[in-house]
Amino acid sequence: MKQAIFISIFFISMRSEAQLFINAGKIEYEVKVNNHKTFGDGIWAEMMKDKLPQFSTKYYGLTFDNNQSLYKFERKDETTKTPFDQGENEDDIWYNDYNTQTFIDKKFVFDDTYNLSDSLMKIEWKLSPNETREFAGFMCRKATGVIFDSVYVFAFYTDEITVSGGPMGLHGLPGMIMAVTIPRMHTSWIATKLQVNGVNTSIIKAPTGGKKRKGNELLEKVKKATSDWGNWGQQSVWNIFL
Amino acid sequence: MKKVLLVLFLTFTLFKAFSQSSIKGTVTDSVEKKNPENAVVSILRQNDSALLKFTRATKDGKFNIGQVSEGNYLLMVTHPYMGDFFDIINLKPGENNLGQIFMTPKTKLLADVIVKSGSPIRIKGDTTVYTADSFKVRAGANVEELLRRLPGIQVDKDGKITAMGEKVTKVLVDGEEFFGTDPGIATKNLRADAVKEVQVFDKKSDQAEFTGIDDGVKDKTINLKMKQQKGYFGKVELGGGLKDKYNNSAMVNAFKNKRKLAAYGIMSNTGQTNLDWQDAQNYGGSNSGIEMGMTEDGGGMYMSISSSEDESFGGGQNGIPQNWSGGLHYSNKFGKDNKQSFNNGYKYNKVNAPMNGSTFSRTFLPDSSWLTNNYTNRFNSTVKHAYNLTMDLNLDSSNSLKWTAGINRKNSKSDSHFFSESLTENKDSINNSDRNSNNNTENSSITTTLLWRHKFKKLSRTLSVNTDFSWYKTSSDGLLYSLNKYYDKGLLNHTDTTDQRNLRHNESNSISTKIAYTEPLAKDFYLELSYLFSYKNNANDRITNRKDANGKYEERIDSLSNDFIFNQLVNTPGLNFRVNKKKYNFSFGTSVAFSHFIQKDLSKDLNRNYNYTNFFPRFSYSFKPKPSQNFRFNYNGSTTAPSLDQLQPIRVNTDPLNIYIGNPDLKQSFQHNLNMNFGSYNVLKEKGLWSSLNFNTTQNAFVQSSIVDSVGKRTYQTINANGNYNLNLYSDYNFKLPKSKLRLGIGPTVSTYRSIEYLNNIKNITHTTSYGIRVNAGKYVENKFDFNIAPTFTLNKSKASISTSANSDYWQLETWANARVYFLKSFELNTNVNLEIRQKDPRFTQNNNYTTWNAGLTKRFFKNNALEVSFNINDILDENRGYSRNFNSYSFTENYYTTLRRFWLLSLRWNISKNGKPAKGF
Repeated sequence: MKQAIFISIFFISMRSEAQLFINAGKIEYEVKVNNHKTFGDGIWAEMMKDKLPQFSTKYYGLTFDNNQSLYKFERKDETTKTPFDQGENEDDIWYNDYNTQTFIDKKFVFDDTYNLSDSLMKIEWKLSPNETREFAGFMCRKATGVIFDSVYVFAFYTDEITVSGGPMGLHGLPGMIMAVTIPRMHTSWIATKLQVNGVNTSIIKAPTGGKKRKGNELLEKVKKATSDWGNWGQQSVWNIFL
Repeated sequence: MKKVLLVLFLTFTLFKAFSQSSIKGTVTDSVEKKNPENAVVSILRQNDSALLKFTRATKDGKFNIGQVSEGNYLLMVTHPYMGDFFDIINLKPGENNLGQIFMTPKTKLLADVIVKSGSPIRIKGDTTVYTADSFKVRAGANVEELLRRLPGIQVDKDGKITAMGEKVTKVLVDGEEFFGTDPGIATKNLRADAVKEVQVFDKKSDQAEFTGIDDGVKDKTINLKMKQQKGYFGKVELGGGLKDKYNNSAMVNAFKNKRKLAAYGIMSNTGQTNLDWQDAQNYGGSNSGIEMGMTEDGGGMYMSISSSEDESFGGGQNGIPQNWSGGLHYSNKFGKDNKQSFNNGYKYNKVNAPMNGSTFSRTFLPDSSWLTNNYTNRFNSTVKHAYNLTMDLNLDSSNSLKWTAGINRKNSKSDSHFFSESLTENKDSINNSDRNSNNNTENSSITTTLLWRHKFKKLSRTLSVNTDFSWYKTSSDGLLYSLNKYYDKGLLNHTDTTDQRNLRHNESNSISTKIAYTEPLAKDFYLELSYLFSYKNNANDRITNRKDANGKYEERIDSLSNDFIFNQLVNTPGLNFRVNKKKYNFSFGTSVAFSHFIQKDLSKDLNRNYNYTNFFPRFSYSFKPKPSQNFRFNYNGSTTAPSLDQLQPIRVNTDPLNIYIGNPDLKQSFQHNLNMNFGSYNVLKEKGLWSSLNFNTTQNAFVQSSIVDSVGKRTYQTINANGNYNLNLYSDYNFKLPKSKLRLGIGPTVSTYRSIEYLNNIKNITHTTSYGIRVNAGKYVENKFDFNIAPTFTLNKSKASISTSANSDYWQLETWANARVYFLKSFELNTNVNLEIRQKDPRFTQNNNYTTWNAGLTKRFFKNNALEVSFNINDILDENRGYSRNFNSYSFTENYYTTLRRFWLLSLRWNISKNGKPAKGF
C-alpha cells in the first residue's frame, strides 16, 4: 500500500477510510502577522502603516511521528516582507517530545544561538466542542487557552491526528492543533496542507549546537532585560519563548 | 499498512486529591456495532469546560483514564465520523466502569435546522442587511449581544452563530478579516454601538473570487459595517507673563474616517514661531517636513526630517521675534483600502524681529594688527504664504504615482543701522563707517515633483522615474547710505559717502529627470542602472543707481551693475552593483557626470563655455556578524557647482568697508567622503558601543581670498584651492548599573580640520583640533520621574600659519541636565539647566560663563487631563547671553546679540476632544 497520498484542502474528497487516523506526517502552517497592529498608534506608526504591507506571511513546517515533533521555518512570501524582518530567527528549531512532556529548542535570542531545554509549558485548555471549523480538510474543534499568565490563545484541533502537538510549544489537546490565533501577538497560524506519505521523519531529533540553557532560566533573563521596553518587550518575550 | 498506536496521554498528572478515581469503558458504534478505534474520550470540568484528561480508545474500543479526583464531570467522546457524545458523570472513589458508550454515525443524524422568519429586513441581492441602530442593546454591549437580537440570527451559549439556519464561518469587519476570521473574536471584542450595519451573505471561497470560477464552496458570512469614525480634537492655550510676554495658540483637527480638516493659529513672543513637530503631525499637513519611506529594494526604511530656512527663526542671532502664524490643512484617503490619498494645506507666517548686536574682533597680519568693532541695530519683518499639495495614487499593485507641489511667497522688509570702526592696538582710529540701509525683498517659488514607480512581476525588478521642476524668483529693492571716514595716524585723512539704490532681479528655472532601474541578476545580487538629466537656468540682474543732483536714484553705476546668466546642463549615467547577504552586503559602482556650463555676461556681451567630466565612484560595505552588531564602510564622491553669486563679475558694496567681487573663473569643486562606523548592543547585558569616523577632503574647494588695504578696507572673492579636509571621530559606550537601573554613558570625540584661505595673496592654513569627552547619566521610571545629565569637556586648539597671535588653546565645559517628577497624581514638575564654562583668555575681557536654568510646574485637571495649568520660568538666574566666540585663523571675534532672558509665563491649556485624540510620538 505504498501509494503516495497527498492531502490538502483541494483533495478532501480523496480521503478514504484508510487514512482515518494519522500519526505521522508533515503540516504546513501559514503564519500571518498583522504588522499594522504591531506598530500600535502614534505618528511613526501611522507613517509606517502607509508604507508597509498590513500582513506578512511566512510558512512553517511541523513534522511529527512517534509522538515527537519538529517545527521549523520553511519559506516566506517575499512580497509581504518588512524591513524589520532580518530573518535572524529563520534557523530556529522546536523539538517536542510529547511522551516525556519536554522540549529541546534551538533559538536565536538577540545575539546568540541557545540550546534551550525544559518541560513543555502547561496550558489549561477550555473546550468549545460545538464550535467547529475545517482546516486543511480536517474538521477541527475550538479550544481556548492562556499562556504567559495572561495571553489568550484560540486554537482549533483535530482528533483525526493522534499526536497531541501543535506549532511551537503549543500542545495538550486531544489531537493536533491545526489553527491558532493569538490576538495580543497579532498573529495567526493556519494549517494549509498535510502531507502523509513520503515525509522524511528522520529529521525529528533534538537540535544540537548553541549555548545550553534551561528554558525558564533564559526566560527570566530576557524578561528582566526587556522590562523597560513596554509592550514591545512583552511581544519579544512571547515571540521568543512560545 | 499503517501501524496502530495506542496513545495514552497523562498531561495533568498532579492532582491534589485524597481519593483518586479512575474510569473505564468501551466505545461502540450503535449502528454497525463496531468499536470505533481512536475515539477521543475527554473529561472536562463541568463549570467551564476546561479539559482535564483525555485518552483514545483502543482497537477494541476500550478506554481507561486514571488519577481523577472524585466528583461530577462532563464526559465528551468524539470521533470524526460519529456524532459527539456528551454526558455528566459522577465519579466515586476507585474504579468507575461506564460500560458501553454508544456513538451514532453522522450519516444517521438529521440536521435540526431552525429557520426563524423575522420582521421585514432589507435584502440587497443575496445580502441581508440589518441596520444596527434599530435594535436596542444595553450601553457597552458587544456585537454578540447585538446579533442575538437580530431576527434570523442565533448565537448559542458558546458564541456559535447561526444565520438563516446555516453556521456562520466568517465574520468580517468592513470587509476585512478580523484575526483569521474566527467569528468569536470579532463579535466578542467589538462594541455594538460602533456597528452601522450587519450584512449576511454567502462568501465565495477566496480561490473562486480570485479565479472567477465558482467552485460551489460558500461560507455563510457576516460583515459588520462600522459606523464612520467622526470626531475632533484640539487645544486652546493662553499664556501670559512678565515682562510683556505672551504665547497663545489654538489648534483643532476635525476628522471623519480618513478625512482630516485641521486649522491652527499661534501668536507668540516667547520663541514659539511654528508648530512643534508633534503638533505639525496633528494639526499641520502630514508633509510638514517629516517623511518616512522604504528604500528601493524594500530592505530598509528611512526617515527624513527637513525644515525650511525660516522655520528656525526662534533661536540664533535673530533677536526676539514676535510671531503670528496660522494654517489650514485638508487631507483625505479614498479608493479601495484607502490606497489613494490627497493632502494639501496653506500656511501663513509673519515674524517681526528686532535685533541688537555687537561684534568685537582683532585681526593679526604678519606686519600689522588692528581691532574692529561693529554695532548693529536691525528690524526685520517677514510675511510668508505657503501652499503645498501631495497626491499618492496607487494605480494598481505594481504602479504608483506621487505628485507633490509647493507654492511659496515671501516678503521681507528690513531696516538696519550699522556702525563699524577699525582701531589700531593703541585705540587710534583707522576708519569708521556709519551706515543706514533698508531693503524690501520678494521671493516667489513653485516646485513640483512627479514620481512614478513600477514593480515588475519578477521580485525586486523595479523602475522609477522622478521628474522635478522648480521656478524661483527673487527681486529686491533697497537704499544704502554710508558715511565712511579714513584716518592716518589717528587723524582724519579723508571721507567718502555712498548713497545708492540697489535693485536685484534673480530668476531661475530647473528641470531634472532621474530614471532608475533595478534588475535582480541572481539571488541577493542586483544591478542598478540610472540616468539623470538636469538643466538649470539662472539669471541675475543687479542694478546700482547713484543719487543724482535731483535727489533721484536714476544714475546707473556701471561698475556696480551687471546682468548675468548661468546655465548648467548635466547628463549623468550610472551603474551600480549590490549584494545583499544575511551577514554582509556591499555595493559598488560609478556614475559619470558630463556637465556643460555656460556663463553669459549680458552687460559686457561675453560668453564662456565649460565642459567637465566627473566620475563618481561609490563603494559601501557593511558587515553584520550578529543582528545587533554592524560595521559599515562607505566612500562616495560628489561635485558642487559654484553659485551664480560667486561667479557674477561684479563688486557688491553693501558694506563699503568689505567689498565682495564675483569670480567668473571659478571651477566646480569635488568632494571625497569617507565614512566608517561600528555599532553594537547587547540586549541581555544591556550595554552598547557606537563609534564612527568621518573624513572628507575637497579638490578645488571654494575658499576666500581677501585684500586689505592701508586704510583697512577689505575686498574679497571666492577662489579654488586644494588641501581642505576635516576628520571627525565620535564614540559612545553605554551601560546600565544592574541594581539602580541607572544608565551611564561615556564617549570621547575628536575633530580636526584644515582650512585654507588667502590674505593679501599669502596662503594661510588654519589647523583646528578639539578633543572632547562626554559623560551622561540618566534614569527613567514611567509616570514617576526621569532625569538626565550630560557634561561635555572639550579642549580646543587652533593654529594659523600666517600669524601666531590669534592661536588659541582653551578648555570648555558644557553641561546639560533635565529632570521631571510626577507627584500627587496630577502634578508635574520639570526643570532643565544648561551650564557653559570657558577657560579665561586674557584677550577676551568679558565674563563668558553662564547658566541658563528653566523650570515649570503643571497641574492637570478633570478627566483625560482636559485642563492644564502651568507656570514656567525661563532663565531663572537671568544669566542667558547671546554670545559666541570664534577663532578664525588670523583673527578672533566675540559676538553679542539680544536673546530671550528671564521671564515667567502662566499658561492655561484646554484640551478638547470627541472620539479622538492627538497622536503621540512613536
